[in-house]
Amino acid sequence: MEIEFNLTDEQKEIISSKNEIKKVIACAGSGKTSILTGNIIQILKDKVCKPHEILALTFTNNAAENMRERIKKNLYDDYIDTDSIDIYTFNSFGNYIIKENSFILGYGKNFKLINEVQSWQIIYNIFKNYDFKQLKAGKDIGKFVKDLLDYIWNLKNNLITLQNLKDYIKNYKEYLADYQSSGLFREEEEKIPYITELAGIYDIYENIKKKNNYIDYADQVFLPYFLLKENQVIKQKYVLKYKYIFVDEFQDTNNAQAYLLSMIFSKDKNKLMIVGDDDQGIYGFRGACIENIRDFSYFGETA
Amino acid sequence: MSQELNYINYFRNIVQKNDNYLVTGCPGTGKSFFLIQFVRYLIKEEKINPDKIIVFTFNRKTSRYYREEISKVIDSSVSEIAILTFHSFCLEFLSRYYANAALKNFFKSNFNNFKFNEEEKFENIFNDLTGEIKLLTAPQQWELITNILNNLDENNYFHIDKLLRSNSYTKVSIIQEIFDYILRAKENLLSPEYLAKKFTPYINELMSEINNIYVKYNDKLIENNFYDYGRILQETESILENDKSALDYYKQRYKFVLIDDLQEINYAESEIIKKIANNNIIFFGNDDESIYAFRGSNINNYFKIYESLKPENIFFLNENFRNNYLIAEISRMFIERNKNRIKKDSKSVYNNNQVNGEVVVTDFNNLHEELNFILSKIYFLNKVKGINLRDIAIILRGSEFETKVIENFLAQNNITYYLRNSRSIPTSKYVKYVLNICRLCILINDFNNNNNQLLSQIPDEINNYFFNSIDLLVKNLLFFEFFDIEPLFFKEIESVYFSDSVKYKNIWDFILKNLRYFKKIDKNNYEKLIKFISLISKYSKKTHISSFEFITDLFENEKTGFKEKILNYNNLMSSEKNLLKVLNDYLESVKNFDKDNLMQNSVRDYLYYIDKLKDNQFIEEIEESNKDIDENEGIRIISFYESKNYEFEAVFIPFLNKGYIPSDFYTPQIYDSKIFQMFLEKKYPDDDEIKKIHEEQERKILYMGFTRSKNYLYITSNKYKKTSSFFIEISSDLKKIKESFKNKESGLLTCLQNNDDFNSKIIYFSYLRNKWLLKKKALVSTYRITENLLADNNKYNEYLLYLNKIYNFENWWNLKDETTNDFNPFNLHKNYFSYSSLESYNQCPFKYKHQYLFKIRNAEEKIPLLTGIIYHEVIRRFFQESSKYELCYLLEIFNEEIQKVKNQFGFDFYLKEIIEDGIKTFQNFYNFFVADYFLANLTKIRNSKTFFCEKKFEFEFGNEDIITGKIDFINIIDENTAEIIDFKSSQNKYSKQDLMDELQLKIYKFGLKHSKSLNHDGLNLANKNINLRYYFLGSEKDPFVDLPDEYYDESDLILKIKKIISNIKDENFEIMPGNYMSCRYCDYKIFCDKYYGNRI
Repeated sequence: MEIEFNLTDEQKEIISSKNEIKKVIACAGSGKTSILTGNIIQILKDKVCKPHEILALTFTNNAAENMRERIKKNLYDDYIDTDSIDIYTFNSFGNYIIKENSFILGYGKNFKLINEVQSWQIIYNIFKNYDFKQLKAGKDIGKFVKDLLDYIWNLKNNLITLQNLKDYIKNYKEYLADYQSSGLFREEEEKIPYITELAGIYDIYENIKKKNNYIDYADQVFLPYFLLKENQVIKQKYVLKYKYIFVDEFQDTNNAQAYLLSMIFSKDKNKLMIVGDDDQGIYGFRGACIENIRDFSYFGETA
Repeated sequence: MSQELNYINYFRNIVQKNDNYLVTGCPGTGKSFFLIQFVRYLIKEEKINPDKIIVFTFNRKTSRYYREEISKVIDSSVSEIAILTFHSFCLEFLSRYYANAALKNFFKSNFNNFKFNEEEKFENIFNDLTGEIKLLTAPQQWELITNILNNLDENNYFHIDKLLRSNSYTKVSIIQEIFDYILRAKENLLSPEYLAKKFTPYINELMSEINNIYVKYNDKLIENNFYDYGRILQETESILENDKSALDYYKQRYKFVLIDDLQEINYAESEIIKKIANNNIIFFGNDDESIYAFRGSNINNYFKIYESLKPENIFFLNENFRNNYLIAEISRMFIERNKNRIKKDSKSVYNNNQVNGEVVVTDFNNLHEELNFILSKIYFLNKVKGINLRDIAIILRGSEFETKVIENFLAQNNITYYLRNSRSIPTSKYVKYVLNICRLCILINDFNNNNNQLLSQIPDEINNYFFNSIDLLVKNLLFFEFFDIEPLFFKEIESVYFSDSVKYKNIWDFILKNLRYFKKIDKNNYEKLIKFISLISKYSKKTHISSFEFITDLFENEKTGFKEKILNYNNLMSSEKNLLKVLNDYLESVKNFDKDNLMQNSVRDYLYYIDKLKDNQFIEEIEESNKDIDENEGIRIISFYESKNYEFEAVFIPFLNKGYIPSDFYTPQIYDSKIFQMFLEKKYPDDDEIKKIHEEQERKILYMGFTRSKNYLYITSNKYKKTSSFFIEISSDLKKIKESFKNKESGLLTCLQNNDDFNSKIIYFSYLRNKWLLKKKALVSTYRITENLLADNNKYNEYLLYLNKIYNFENWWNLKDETTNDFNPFNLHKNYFSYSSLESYNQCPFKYKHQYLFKIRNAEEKIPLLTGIIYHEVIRRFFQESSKYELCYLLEIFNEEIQKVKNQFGFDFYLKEIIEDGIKTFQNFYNFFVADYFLANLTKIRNSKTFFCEKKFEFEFGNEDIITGKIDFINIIDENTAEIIDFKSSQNKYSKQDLMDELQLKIYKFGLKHSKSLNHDGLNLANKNINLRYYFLGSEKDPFVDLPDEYYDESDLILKIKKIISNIKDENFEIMPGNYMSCRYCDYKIFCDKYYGNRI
C-alpha cells in the first residue's frame, strides 16, 4: 500500500514556516500526523540537520512504528539513515534517559522495569499486611488494589513526590488557606486521614521498589523529569542533542510528560512542533490534562 | 597435505628474510593450520631449536589446542616450545626478573661472607628470594575493592556512597563498574592521573570519584605487594622500557615469535611485543574476528601493526576450507557492510555445484513456530542426514532468557544437549533445593539455640537465588517435587498460622507445635509433612560437620528423594542424564571447597562462601572451569564468544530480534572500552562515533557465529518481537545471491529455501510432545489396537513422567502469588460460570479443580481429536449456511471440516475411522433428524424463523453470579411449544437415573425462561412450554430421548446450582466416589488417588 503525501496549501504553509514553536491544533482527521511526518521528511530532505538530531514523541508504540515506516518510504531514495531518528513514546524516551543515567539516578545497571501487573502485585502484598483504619476494601479486592495503584500513579503523573504529599498532610491548613468556601475546606479536611493512609501505602510501595531496584511504569517519566531538573549538565546534553522535537497527539500528554518535554526544550537551542486536537482527548484515563495544549506558557511563546 | 605444500614457499620466505609478517584471511582459511605447519617446518626441516620459538595465544584453551596439535605433527612432546598466554608470559617474566635482581643484590652484599659448602642453606635462601608473586584472583580483587569502598569518607565520595547505600543490586553493579574500569585502564596503560585530565569534557563527579578509587586501589596493591592482571602487564612493560639488560636478554632469547589472534590484543600487550622481539614476529589474525572488545582488546593495535608491515610481508590466505560456497558468500557480504576493515578476498574451495548443505533465513510469527522449526531441522539433520548431534550447535547470546527457552525446549523433546554455561550449576533447581535445605537447617539450628545474631550474617537475597526466611524456605521446600505437598493443604496450614501468627516465631515453630491438628486434615499430606520435619530436624543438629559430608549425606538420604527419584532411576531420559552430570559437578565443587578450607568447612561456612560468590557475581567459581566441551554428547548450546575456535556441521542462530543483536545502544555512563580506545587516539569521544563502533562490533559477533558452520546454517527470527536490522540485511543479501543464480542451472537454488517445505510430520510430532493429553490418547489408542490391554501401573508411570515434564508442579498457579495470570490479574472473584463447568463439578469436583482452577484443559479444546466438535460444527454450518437441506450438502460440509483438521490427527487409522463413522452418522442424522423431524416440523409455521442452532445465552443467577452456555438446537414448533435439543455424539442412551440427575437441559430450560438476551431476539420463550430432548448421533434406532417434564423441578435445580457455586467458592474439591464408568473415560484420572491409589 502506497502512502501518498499530497499536502494541502495550508499544510504546506505550516511546514515551511520557521518559527521556534509550531503549534498545530486541528480537528480529528485533518491530517495532523501527516503534517508532522511531512515536516520531519522536509527537514531531512533539506539537510537542515542530521537524522539523529531529531526527536519525535508519539503516544503509542504503534504510532511510532507507523511514523518510522512512513518516513522510510518517503526518504527511500535519499540515502538517509532513517533508523537513527529517535522516535519514541514518552515512556520509552524516559526509559532511554534512565538507562543512560542510571548511575546518577542511583539505580546502577541492574534495575528492572516492572509492568502494571507486577506493580499491582506489590500493592496487593502491601494490602494484605496493612492495617487499614479509614479505607474500606469492599467486596472486590482486586479492584480496590487497582484503585490504590491508580492513586499512586496519579500522584506521579502529576509529579507529586512522597515528600510533597507528606508536606501537604502536615501543613494542609496553609495549602487550603485560599479556599473561600468553608464547606469545601471541610470537605478537603475530612480527606486528610484517608490521604495519610494512602501516603503510608505510597511510602511502603516506594521502599519495596527501592529495595528490589524496580522501576515502574510511572517512574519512566517521573524520574527523568527530576533528573533533568536537578542536573543542569545532563539537561544541557539532551537539549543540545536534539535540534528538532516533534510531539504528536499533544492533547493526550499528562502533566509529567509535558514537564519532561519542557525540560528538553530550550528556546534558543532547539525547535519544537506540537500537534494536537483539543476535542480528541480519548486517552483521558492516563491523566492527560487538556490544559497542556491551551496553556503552553511554560514553554515560552505560543505560535 | 597439498595445503601444506602451498605454504612451503611462504615458510621459506619467512625463514630467509629476517622481517615481520602477518598471516591473515577469513575464518576457515587455515590460519591456525598455517601456524601449526610452520612450527613443524621450523623444527623438522630447518632444525631450529624448539627453545627458540615462542607462541602467544589469546587464552589457555587455544594454548592447549596448539600444544596438542603441534605434538601430533612433530611426533614428540613439545614442552620446549613456549606456547603461552600473555598473562602467563608476564608472570613468568616478572618472577624471573625479581628473582634475578634479588640474587644479584644478595651476592653483592654477601659475596665475601658466603661459603659455598653450605649448599642446603643456599637453597633456602634462594627459595626465599624467589618467592612467588602474589597474584590476586578476580574474587580477591573484588574483595579488595569492596574493602576500599567500605572505608570511604562519605563527604568526599557522595555519589558512590549514594549508590552503595541504595540496595544490594546497585551495590553490586557499581563495584562491577569500578572493577572493570580499573582493569581496562591498566590494560590500556592509562594511569589515573592521565585519565583525570582526559575525562574533563565528560566528567561528572561520579567519574572523578571512581578515578580516585583507582588511585587507592593501586596504593593498596603496592602496599601489600599484591599483583593483579593489570599490574603484571604494566610492570612488565615498564621494566622492558627501563631496564636495558632485561630487554637485551629477551631480544636474543627467541628467534621466532608467533602471535595468534592478533586482533584481540590490547595496548599493553602490543607494547610488550614490540619490545621483546627484534624481528621475525609472525602475526596471525583477522580484523573481522575481533569480538573481545569488552575485554579490552583494541582493534586499532591491529591496524597499526598492519600499516607498519611491508605489503609483501602480508599473506592473504584466500581459500576457505571450512564453509561451503553459500555460507562463505553470505558471510562475506554481511561483513563487508563494516566500513572500518581491511578488505580480504576469499572463495570457498568447494565447487558451487556440489553444495551439500543449506542456508535458511526465515522469520516466524511467534516463538513457538520458531522453536518448532529448529526442532524439525534438528530431526532432519540427525535422522535424515545422519549428522551427529555433537556437530550441531545453537549459538546464543549469553542472555538467561533465551538460554532457558532453548534448554527447556530441548529437554521437553528429549534431545540431548550440552550447555557449558557458567550458570548451569547454581541455577539447577536440584542444587537450589540442596542449598535451601542447608540454609533451612542452619536457620533452624540458630532458632533452636536462640541464636538470632547469626541470622543476620547471611546477606539479603539477590536475584532470588536463595531465600532467607524460615517461612519462605519451608514453603519452597514443601512444594518441591520431592515432597510435593498438596498446595491447598498447605494453604490451610498457612491460613491458621497467619491468623495466629503472634504466638509463634515462625511457621516451623507453628507446625511443630500443632502437628496433631494437621493429621485430621489429610492423612496423606500429613505423612509427607512428617517426612519433611524428621529430615530437617535431623540435619539441623548436624550443621557442625563438614560441608561435603553434609551434602553427600543429603544426597544419600532416602527422605530427600534424590536416591529414589534421580540417582537410582533406571529409565532416566537421555536429557536427564545431563542432570546427573550437573549434580556430579556440583558435588565435585563442594569437595573442592572442603579440601581448600580444611579449618572452616562447615555447612555454615560453605553457605557463607556461596553467598559471597553470588555477591561477587563469580558464580562460575563454583564450577570446575577446565572441562572440555568435546567430551560431552549432545547438541552444543554455546555463546558467540565460546564458539571461537570451533567448527560445526550445522549452526542455528535463533532469535535474531530487535534488541538482541545488535543490542540497543546507550551512551556509556562510566567507562567504556570504546572511550579508552579513543583516548589512546587522542580524540574526544562523540556519541555518533561510539554508536558506529558499537554496531560494527555487534556485526563482527554475528559474523563469528555464521562462519562456524560448515554446511548448514539456519538464521531465524520471530515477528512477534520485531526482527533485527541485521536480519533484514542478511535476507536481502540472500535475495541477491538467489538472483545471481537464476540464469545458471545450479543445484544451489534448492539449498536456499523458505520454511514451507520441511517435513510436516515432524512438526506434528513435536506438537504432540508438548501436549501430554494428546500424546496419552495416541499412545493408548495404538496400544489398544496392537495389544488390547488395559491401562496398568507401568503405563501410569510413563504418563506421570510426561506429566511431570510438561506440567511442572512448580508452575501450578496456586504455588505462585495471585497474579501470575498477566491477562486477567484483577479478577480474584470469579462470578461467571459456564454450564459445562457446573456440570463438570457435578460429575466430580476433583475434575473441576484440575480443569478450571489448574487450567489443565482437555485436549479437545484445541484439536478436535474427538468427533464431537466436528459433528457440532458440521450441524451448525448445515443449518446456518444453506436453506437447502439435502444429504449431499451435509456430507460435503462434513468432508470440508475433516479436511481442515486432517493434519492434526497424525495417525492415519484415526482419520479413516472418523470418516467412516461420520458418514454413517450423518446418513442417520439426515434420515431421523432432518427429514423426519426438522423438515416435517418446518412446514407447520412458515412465517417466522423457527429454529436456532448453537445459540449462546447467559442469565443472572442470584445477585452476583452469571451462568453462560450454548444451546445446540432450539426448535419452535408452534406458538405455545418449543423444543430444546442437545446433540450427543455417543451411542449410549441415558438411564432413568441419569436423566433425573442431569443438569444440562434443565439449566438450559431455566436459562431460557430467565435469560434476557435470548428473549431479546423476539423469541419470548418465557411463556411457552419447553420440551427437552436429547439426540444421540451415534445411535442407529430411536435416536431421540425425551426428558419428561416431571423431572424438571425448578426449586430443586436452584438449590443444586447454589450448592455447587458456593462449594466452588469455598474451594471444596472432594473426589467423587467412583462412578466407575465415567471415571474410565475421565482425562484427569491420572491425578486421582481414588482411581490409581496414592501418587508416588
